[in-house]
Amino acid sequence: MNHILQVNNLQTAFKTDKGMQTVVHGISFHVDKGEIVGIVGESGCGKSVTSLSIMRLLHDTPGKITGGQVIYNDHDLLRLPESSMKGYRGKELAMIFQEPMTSLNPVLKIGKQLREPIQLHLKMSKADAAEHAVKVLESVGIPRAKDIMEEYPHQLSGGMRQRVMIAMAISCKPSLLIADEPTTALDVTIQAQILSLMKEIQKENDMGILMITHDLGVVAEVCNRVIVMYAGRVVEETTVELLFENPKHPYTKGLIASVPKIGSGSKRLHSIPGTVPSPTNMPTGCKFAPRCKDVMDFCHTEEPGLIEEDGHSCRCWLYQDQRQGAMTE
Amino acid sequence: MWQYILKRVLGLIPLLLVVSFVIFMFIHLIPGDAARLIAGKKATLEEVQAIRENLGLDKPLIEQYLLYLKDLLSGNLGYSIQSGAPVSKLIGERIMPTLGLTFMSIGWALVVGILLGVISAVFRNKWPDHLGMLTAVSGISLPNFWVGLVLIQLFSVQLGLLPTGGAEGWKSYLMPSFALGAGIMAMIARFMRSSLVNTMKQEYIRTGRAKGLGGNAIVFGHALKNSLIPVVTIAGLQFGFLLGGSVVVETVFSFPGLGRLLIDSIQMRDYPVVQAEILLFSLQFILVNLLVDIVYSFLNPKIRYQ
Amino acid sequence: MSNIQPEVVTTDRIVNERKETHFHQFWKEFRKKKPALISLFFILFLILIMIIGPSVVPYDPAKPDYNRVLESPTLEHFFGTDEFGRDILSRLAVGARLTLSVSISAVLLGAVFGTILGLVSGFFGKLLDRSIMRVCDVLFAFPDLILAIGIVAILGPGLRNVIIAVSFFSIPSFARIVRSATLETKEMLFVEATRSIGASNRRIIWKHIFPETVPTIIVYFTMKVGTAILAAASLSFLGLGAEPSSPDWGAMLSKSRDYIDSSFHLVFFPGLIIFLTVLAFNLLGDGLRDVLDPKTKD
Repeated sequence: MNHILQVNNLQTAFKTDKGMQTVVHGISFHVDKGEIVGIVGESGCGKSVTSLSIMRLLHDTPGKITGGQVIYNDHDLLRLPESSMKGYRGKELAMIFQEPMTSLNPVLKIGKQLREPIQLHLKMSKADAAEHAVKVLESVGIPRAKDIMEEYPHQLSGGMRQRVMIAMAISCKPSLLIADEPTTALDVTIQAQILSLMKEIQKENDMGILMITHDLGVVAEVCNRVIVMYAGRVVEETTVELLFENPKHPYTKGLIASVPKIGSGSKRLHSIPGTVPSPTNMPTGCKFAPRCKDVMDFCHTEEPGLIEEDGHSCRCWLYQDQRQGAMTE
Repeated sequence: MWQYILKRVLGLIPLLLVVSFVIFMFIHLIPGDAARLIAGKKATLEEVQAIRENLGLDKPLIEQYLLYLKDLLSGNLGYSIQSGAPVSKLIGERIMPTLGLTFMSIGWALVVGILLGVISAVFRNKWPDHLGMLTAVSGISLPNFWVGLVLIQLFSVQLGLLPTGGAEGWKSYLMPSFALGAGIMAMIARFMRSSLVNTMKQEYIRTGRAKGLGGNAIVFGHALKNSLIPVVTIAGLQFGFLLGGSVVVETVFSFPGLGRLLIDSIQMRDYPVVQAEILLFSLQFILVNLLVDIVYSFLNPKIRYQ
Repeated sequence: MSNIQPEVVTTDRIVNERKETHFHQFWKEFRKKKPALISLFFILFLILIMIIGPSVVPYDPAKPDYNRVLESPTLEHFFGTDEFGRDILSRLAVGARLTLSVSISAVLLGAVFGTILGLVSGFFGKLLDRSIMRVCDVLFAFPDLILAIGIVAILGPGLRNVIIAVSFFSIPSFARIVRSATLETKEMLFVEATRSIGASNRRIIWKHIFPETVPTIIVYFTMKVGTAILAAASLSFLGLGAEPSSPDWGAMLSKSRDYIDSSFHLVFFPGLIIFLTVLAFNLLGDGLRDVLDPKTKD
């Protein structure tokens, strides 16, 4: 097997006033070497929590991983003691976040923040680490890299800050990069630059990228494979080509229809009615049933399984003939 | 940066003018004939008249204020009615012990308060936190004069280790600075805790963890500096509390400082001294807050690089 | 916005809060704060003592008993006797009325004036706001206790002047807090809506803005009472407050200093009761803040 990362039946719950509420419901997927996998879904679907769970970064949140495995290099990360897990973060698995302003420490110089993981994981001296950091900065297309080492985050533009974040993440040559909405907070033109940069560094370093996003445009641009999440579950998984050519799940269809297309004229933009159900108020059957335009009676009572067919998985009664036949007869 | 400091200093001038005017009005605010009140019931008409002229109370108000300002700028704070000595001389004799006491108090309060706050934040909702915050809320609630008296009972009366009062040698500073600093220490600890807890929720802390940094590197390398910034501001505001407290604590320990002088002067109706003292206390408070603003701008690169 | 906690959860909570009555909801939360709950009972007990104290005390707090001067605590006199043989427990119980009423009325005065100034300042803005805030700045330029000492120096000692002095330094802090709460509420949509219907300013302030600031005021009030007790006791201790012979807690401490060598109980008990009372108000304030004003927590 060539999987860098294999997530099995991951479950994460949040502590709330009404007890533990599961927000990630046993999701499974894998990321291969040299592959960019997208996880797409609306905010609140559990995609960010999934990424934080993989990194075991739920420290400062009310979240807790309640089950499953995260296999990296034959090790289940969820079973490692925190002290060994630290050795993986930043070295083997790195992460970049949505908001490059708040994700960089405002009172520390860029240089210090960049050197930190290098000194920690590559055991370099301060001077060597600084030299290495400058090289990495240059590799992500930052001009006057030396000067920027001495500057503070607020002195840089949003795009520059995200480049710094990327530089920091790849400085120790991780095998897997998790990018949580890396372009959401950026201007459209900068978005395109950052995405092409990510594709470039992915090729150069031959790493896997897990791209968390709500934006199908981003998925179409960079991903090889896509996982669609809804209400803490995987509802569809396939290659990017298949997803756009032949989306199966009504939710995915809705997402694709809501992407604005050039030349679509004055036609009103499609949007999926309703909102993501809250963990305290989950429908009993298919979680998407209340918002689904193809809903059938038993969708409200029975939850479909995730069924794979020709490399295209989907969690919907529409594609599960046996059951559907049995019910309609 | 320098521009910012200059702007802050210049911005203080109107405030200083208003404060000096309010304090100038001090003697005029005393109900009834101030000169007669100051002179006392037994004074003759001539004596009252002399005091009135001495204080310039017979001149028009605005002229009096301008004279007062002019005197202030030349360092003339007036003359004590009791002893006739220049007020600046009386204050000069007392200022060093009080400054020593104040800085010793704020010094230990900052160190211990920050430490206690950090411990509480790191062990949030565990027993060290509960213990630390119970200590802090108790510290805020303690009457400093009572702390002083309990210390005297313990260390002077029972154990005979420390002098009950005066300002001779470092030993005589220990108990007063403990009594004076306890409240501030407690407040700093509370602010430090909530500031650090707040900082730990920031996204750059998560970035730090994502890099593989451990708990200590996160707290001391990334969070502490950020969370100190608001604490510095609070410490400046608490300085006023310290100045007020010094009056009480100096009284408990018969400490020959400005606070004792203020209370003695009030009791002897030596109003020029009282007036000058209140001006001095306010001035110190204003200057400390200016200093805090400057330290704040040094800690915060956003302001430093403007 | 963080993606960690789904927004839906919070909307849900707001909906639930509307369903239950305010007080019920408040009590359910407040009950969990044990230190605050104990403090509340302690304060209620003190208020009871304030009301019925003089009729239940075991000894006449003013009557000297020269046979039992400066006695240490015994079963007859739990807190001992003072230099005139008066029962200290009885004096403290009667003194509660003085100390608490002075502090509470001072903060009440400060709160009323401060709230009015804050509401007016925040609501009307512009020149009025700027002038009120500048006056507050000037008051803030004086350290609290120094301002109070200055005022008592002008007006002369006595409890009435202590009330004035303490309320004076409470005004600007109430004004600032209420002002910022007012600004926040003003931004909220419904005030705009009310104004467009044509409600008068006064009506908007009292019916729409003031109620929103009440939780903040209650929390701050509770905490300020603790500060006020300390300030009033300090003034009495310095001989600028209550009559030295009165059973005011600060005044009792002031006089007892002379007996620190021989009769420490004279110092210990009045100070302890001041400490416990202030502690109770602070803990109650903390608990109220956690429940009523959670955004200022941590």
